[in-house]
Amino acid sequence: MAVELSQNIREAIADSSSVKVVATIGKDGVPHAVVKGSVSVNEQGNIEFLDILESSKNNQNLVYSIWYEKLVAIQVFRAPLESYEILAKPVRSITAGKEFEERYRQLHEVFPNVDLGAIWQLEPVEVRDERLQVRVQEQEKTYPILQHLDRIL
Amino acid sequence: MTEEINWRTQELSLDEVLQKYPDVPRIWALKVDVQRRGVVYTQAAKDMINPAIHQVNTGTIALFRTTQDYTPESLIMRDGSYLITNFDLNKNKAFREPYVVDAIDGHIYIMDQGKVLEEVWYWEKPEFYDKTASNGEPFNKYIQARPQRIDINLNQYCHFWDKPGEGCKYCPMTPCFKMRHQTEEREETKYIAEAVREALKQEGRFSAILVTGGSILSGEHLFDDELDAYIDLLQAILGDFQVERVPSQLISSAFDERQLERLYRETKLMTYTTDIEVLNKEKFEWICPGKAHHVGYEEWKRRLFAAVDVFGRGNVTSGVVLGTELASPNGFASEDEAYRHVIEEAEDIISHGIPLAANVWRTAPGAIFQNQKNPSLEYFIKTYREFDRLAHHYGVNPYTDDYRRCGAHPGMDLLRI
Ligand code: SF4
Repeated sequence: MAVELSQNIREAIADSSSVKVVATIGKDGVPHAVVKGSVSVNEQGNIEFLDILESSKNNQNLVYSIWYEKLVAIQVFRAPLESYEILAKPVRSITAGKEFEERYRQLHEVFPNVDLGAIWQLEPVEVRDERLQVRVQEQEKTYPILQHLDRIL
Repeated sequence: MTEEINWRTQELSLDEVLQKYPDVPRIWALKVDVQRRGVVYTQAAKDMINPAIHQVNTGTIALFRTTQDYTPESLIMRDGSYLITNFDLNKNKAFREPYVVDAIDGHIYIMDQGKVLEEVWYWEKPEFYDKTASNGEPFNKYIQARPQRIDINLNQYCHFWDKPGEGCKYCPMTPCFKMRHQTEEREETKYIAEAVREALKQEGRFSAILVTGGSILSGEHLFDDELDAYIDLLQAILGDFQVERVPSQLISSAFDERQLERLYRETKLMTYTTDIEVLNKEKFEWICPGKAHHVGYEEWKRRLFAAVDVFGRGNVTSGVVLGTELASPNGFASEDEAYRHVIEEAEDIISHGIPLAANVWRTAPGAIFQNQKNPSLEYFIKTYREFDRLAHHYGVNPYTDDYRRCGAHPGMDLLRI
């Protein structure tokens, strides 16, 4: 079931200083993570990014994920402490057409020496607020047994 | 359209095949089946064509067709792969119902028995399709396009048909040439090169050039004239590139070592393909009598292997028209028997570093085999799956004939992962 990304997350994603990491698995089950500066949110509310290398492990794993309905994790970190994990389902890989050519040209304005493999679109299905203070509060509330005793003496 | 009334009960359905082979992706298995059964477009689907944007079957040269409908050239799937559907259906003897392409709420879907199976998109036409060459002729008379590839069919007549009974029995190209009453076999290199230059102005559109055509037997040695024609063309279209080898593919007759050396030395061609077509000597001799007579199965294979020494491992592939080995009356008696023979032969070829670009055999109108019935979906899935296991095992991925540089050989899609 698709979820809508909040304004905070959209802003964090749009901020060019934030770090966006895409983590996938392939048919061998080995995880692979890659920093993706091109992660954005498109008009449909889906996550979108460019995969530059057609032969990359990331592209292979995304194909595996779209074929076998596996989820992809996208981590967004914005200093000083903002952090989100988005779980998303790949819904489309665009490898040709006007949209592809437009992104190809835009990419060349910034990186003239690279090619474009595909534009990937992913539908968010779950969002986790990964800010440390939020996660700590959550754990203390849900699992009060999980703490060192000296901290609560 | 005449179909066998009970065809759905006589073979495993898409769902049943997927249950039996759960390791294959559903979207891919559907693609294989669409190629096997063909598609028809509803009026609503045709209404979604925008001729200013989409590539349509009307007005372009379709070498393998007897009819030209106002339908999209072909489809793009959500995994970024292309699904070639621009082939003729034998409407008089279809055996099975084709899939339906329909439009619902502004989206286009592949459907079967009223059930939505996959969303698809139409191919967009390249900018050069609306332009003309210096002689006033439309550029797409000289070259055609797939979403990422320029296609050039140099010789539109195959000289294996010169002697009655020697053409490949599944192939509609030369019968269609005759049906069109076409007389010129070839377009001028000058205009082809002009068209390629124009096509390459569109940034991000093309990542490969395919050159192919019918066989030319003449010359001092067999195929020498064909080789000369290809070298002349390849020099004209690849010469301007600033690299030693251009992402390009030639599908030609099986050249011998001397011819292969010339082809490699005198052009910037990157990959070479010569089609073995049928993976069994005896069936090859029946189905491709011209190739068998002039070259022979073992020699065709030997030349294919020799091409790896010239072009390098991974830069040579071979095409197969998968399923023809089951044609009647001289094909294998059962799919199990065919599978055993085909896989044994496939391993011999793939182990030499040559992946197989296998088409789903469709019974094309005009071809000698036009009224035949192609095999079950299970046969294609099982065989492609094994070709893929062998290609992974022997570690070769040619990045030609694949999901985006071609779209006609679904087996190659599996090399994406
Ligand atoms: S060699 Fe066979 S398949 Fe190729 S064009 Fe000639 S008849 Fe057709």
